[in-house]
Amino acid sequence: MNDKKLETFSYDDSVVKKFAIATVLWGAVGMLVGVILAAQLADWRFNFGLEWLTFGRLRPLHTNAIIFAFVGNSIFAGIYHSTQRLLKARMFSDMLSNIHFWGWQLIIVLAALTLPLGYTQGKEYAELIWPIDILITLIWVVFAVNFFGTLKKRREKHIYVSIWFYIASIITVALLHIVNSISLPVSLMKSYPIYAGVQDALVQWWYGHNAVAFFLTTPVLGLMYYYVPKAINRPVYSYRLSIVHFWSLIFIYIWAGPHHLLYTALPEWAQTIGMVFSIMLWAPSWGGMINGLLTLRGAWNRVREESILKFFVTALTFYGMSTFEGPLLSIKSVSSLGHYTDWIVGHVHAGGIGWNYMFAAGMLYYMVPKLWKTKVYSEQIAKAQYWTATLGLLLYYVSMVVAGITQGLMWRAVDAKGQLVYPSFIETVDKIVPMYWIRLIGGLLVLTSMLMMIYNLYKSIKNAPKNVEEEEFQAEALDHNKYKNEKGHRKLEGLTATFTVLATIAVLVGTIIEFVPAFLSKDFIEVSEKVKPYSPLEVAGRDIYIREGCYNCHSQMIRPMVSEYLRYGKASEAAESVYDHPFQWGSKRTGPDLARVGGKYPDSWHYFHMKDPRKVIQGSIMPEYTWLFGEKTEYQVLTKKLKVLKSMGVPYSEEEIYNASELAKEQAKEITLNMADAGVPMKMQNKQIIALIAYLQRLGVDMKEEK
Amino acid sequence: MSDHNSENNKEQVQVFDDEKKILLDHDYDGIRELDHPLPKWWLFTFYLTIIFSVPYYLAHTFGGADSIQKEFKEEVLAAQNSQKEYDDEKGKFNLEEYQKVIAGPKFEKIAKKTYKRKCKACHGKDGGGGVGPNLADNFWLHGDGSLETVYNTINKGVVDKGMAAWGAKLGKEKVYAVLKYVADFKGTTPSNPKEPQGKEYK
Ligand code: HEC
Ligand code: HEC
Repeated sequence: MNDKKLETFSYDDSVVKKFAIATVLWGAVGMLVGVILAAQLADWRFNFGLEWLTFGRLRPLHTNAIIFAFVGNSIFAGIYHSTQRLLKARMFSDMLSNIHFWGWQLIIVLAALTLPLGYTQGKEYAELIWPIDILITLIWVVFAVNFFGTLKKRREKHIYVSIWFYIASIITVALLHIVNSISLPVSLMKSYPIYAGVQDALVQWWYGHNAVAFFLTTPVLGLMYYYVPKAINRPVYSYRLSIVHFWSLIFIYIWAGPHHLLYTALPEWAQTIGMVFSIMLWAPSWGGMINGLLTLRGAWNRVREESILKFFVTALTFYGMSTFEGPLLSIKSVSSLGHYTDWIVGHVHAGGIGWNYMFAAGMLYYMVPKLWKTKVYSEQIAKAQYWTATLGLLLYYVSMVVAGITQGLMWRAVDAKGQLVYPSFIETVDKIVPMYWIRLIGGLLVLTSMLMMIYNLYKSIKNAPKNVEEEEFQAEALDHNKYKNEKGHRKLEGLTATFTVLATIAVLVGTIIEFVPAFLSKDFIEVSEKVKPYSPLEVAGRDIYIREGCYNCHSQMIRPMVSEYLRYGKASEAAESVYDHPFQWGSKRTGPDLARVGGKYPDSWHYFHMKDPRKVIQGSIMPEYTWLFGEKTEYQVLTKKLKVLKSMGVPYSEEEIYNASELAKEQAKEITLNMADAGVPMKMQNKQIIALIAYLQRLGVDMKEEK
Repeated sequence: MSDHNSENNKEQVQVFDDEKKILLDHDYDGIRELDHPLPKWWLFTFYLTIIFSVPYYLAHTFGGADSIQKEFKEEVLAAQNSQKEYDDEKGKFNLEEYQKVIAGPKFEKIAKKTYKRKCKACHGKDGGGGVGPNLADNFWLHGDGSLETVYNTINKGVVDKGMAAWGAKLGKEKVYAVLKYVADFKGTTPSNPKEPQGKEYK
């Protein structure tokens, strides 16, 4: 009894501090970019005529900054802080911690440089180019080694529910990132994903949906299980609920990706999987909210006084709201109305601001005083921050839901004459521009609240005592033999390797069942002889389309709905995008669908429209693309590009590949000649605008006619 | 040096009397856990979603329940039928209706506004042409320049050439108004006329 061997150890809090500071700084940057984007949709001139700031290039920077820089740094701060304490062990290696921190910041800086310059993979939330993707993989491995190394040297036999969530998140994010990012490089800055069309769509939304799941949700649930009971000093409501909702959540979450592809050319059986698994996800998601909120029993009166609890309770409430709205939006008929509209934008911000930002704020207010051995500078500012953020969030959410439903109803309205009630798309945009202004105000308030927190934390840290010594702790070394007679889940909690394997299997089951048919079955995509690969000039144009991020405002997927048939033409088919590396189906229609825009207008229409959309369509909110009229098309790389595409199965002949640049020049000349009547001079023939027009005019023409 | 748990937990975790018997002996950095059973309504919801989902999936994937494609075909057919009916009866040019519209009080304003907003970009402010043809000359690509044929072009458009089917977008009244506006170009001299296109009709 008395010969307990006590070991002495300390925690590495310096890396936690760094991550905490990075969290708020990147958070402010990400939100500022968001505010600029919101302003651009209210009035397009907020891009200040700079190509780097146009909506299509800037929006990926906003999403990446918020997800990977803001929330990313916040979960790393929380994981490094809580893991050491929950395992009674210092991180495995201080050096790996530091490599993780600085590597991650380097990735963010590289993202902030490349995305505005138009270097992009063209896949949502996975826009970063391949060298950065490799860097992400390496840094993630560093993180994983550091984390699992710490697990190995823990002094606590059993791992707490927070750690379960961290394990599942680390494994799954690695899997998602690697599988989705595989591509073949053309050059240092450009590559084509190996998947195309419907397969790319399936992989991409398996990734996109589960990035929300395993980056924005499960790690934060893990943090919730640590910081909420800590802040309230109450026992967690139900251990059993933790077990059931953890396993059901990670098992079911992974299946739900296809709910982003309802009514698309994805085979219907896969769409239905996405829908039903999203519905079954409702209760497992709520398990976390219930366990958090019921832990507050007897402490609700403190919510009125303490900002930390206000942030946590609001975060959990919005988590519950969003995870109810998500399954709702996955019901086919609801999706048919909400998809492509601002309702979805509202939905993600209820999650992003309501859940992630609110939680991070609560966590930082809890963590910063502990780390720096100080007090929060001003409870008053924290309170003001809370109310500012909440008001901003409400304005944001309500304006977007109203805008989304209004526009969705206008798009689908068909009258007794069998015709669209609002045939001109811009009419449906005009109608919701006032909502865009309200959203901008909401966004500004949220940004302001962030700045208040930065000030408050800065002052708190400034008041902190200098040179505090690292605290030391003592605990017994872990003796595995002491726990021989355990059973069931409790036993599993002591077997970290087995636990990790089981969690991996849980996320692999859904992945495999969805992917195997998509990659092995020939019926998954009906191939059509009518669909031909893009000409070399069209490939060049497509790459401009990707570079400019047109997919951030335009879809290329006409859904099988009568209103879309009337507005855009025949519903899109899977066969039509077999050569699309990457697919460009899009997820938001700020502008109209472009899947069949080919041949809809004369070439000159696009020429003048791209130069100044408002000259052609009054009230348009599309940016001007004036630089496409000055920059030259890169003909030289086309041979290389075609070669890479051919190696992935796009049937180009050797001759086409060899002559790619000549063929492209010829086509460019022809198009420019075509526009001579409209006053376009021949000297424009080698400009990028001509390549873009070639691509736009090709869209959807191969299978335009009825069968 | 301090005992491990004393870092953050100066205060004891607060446990109510009725919770004491379900308090587990787990202790992680001072965090304790209760062993409440799963909330009944929660479990019920979970079961309910499963009970809904499994038959729904089977019926839709293997059981021939209404599919998206099937519904789509029916809807399109219905829309096409109503379009046909409408075209046959009400879509045609009708001189009496036309005259009534152009005699109306707001006609001039509507005509001018519609032309400026919808047509000017391609046909010029005085009908001289641009992306679209000159509307002031005697040359016509479609029809012979009579009210009825010009009406038909505006109404149905030349969609593959970039000229939209304005009937569906504007409604009949505005099409009549803008038709009159276009008809009045005849005989005027636009400031920057496009060369003639189509056949000449005197
Ligand atoms: C900020 C969102 C936004 C971005 C980014 C954007 N567009 Fe648009 N686009 C619109 C809106 C709104 C419309 C509808 C009004 C109009 O025609 O100008 C539109 C219309 C169009 C149309 C006409 C479609 C039709 O059927 O009438 C084309 C073609 C088009 N955009 C191409 C592009 C291309 C190519 C890019 C990228 C270089 C792009 N757009 C980027 C918002 C955007
Ligand atoms: C996007 C450009 C565009 C707009 C806007 C447009 N048109 Fe046209 N319009 C054209 C083109 C192009 C043609 C020629 C079609 C062809 O080559 O067959 C045309 C042809 C016509 C013709 C037939 C001319 C002939 O020679 O037979 C009439 C009449 C006409 N337009 C009227 C209108 C009216 C009225 C409006 C406004 C409600 C309008 N257009 C708006 C592009 C446009």
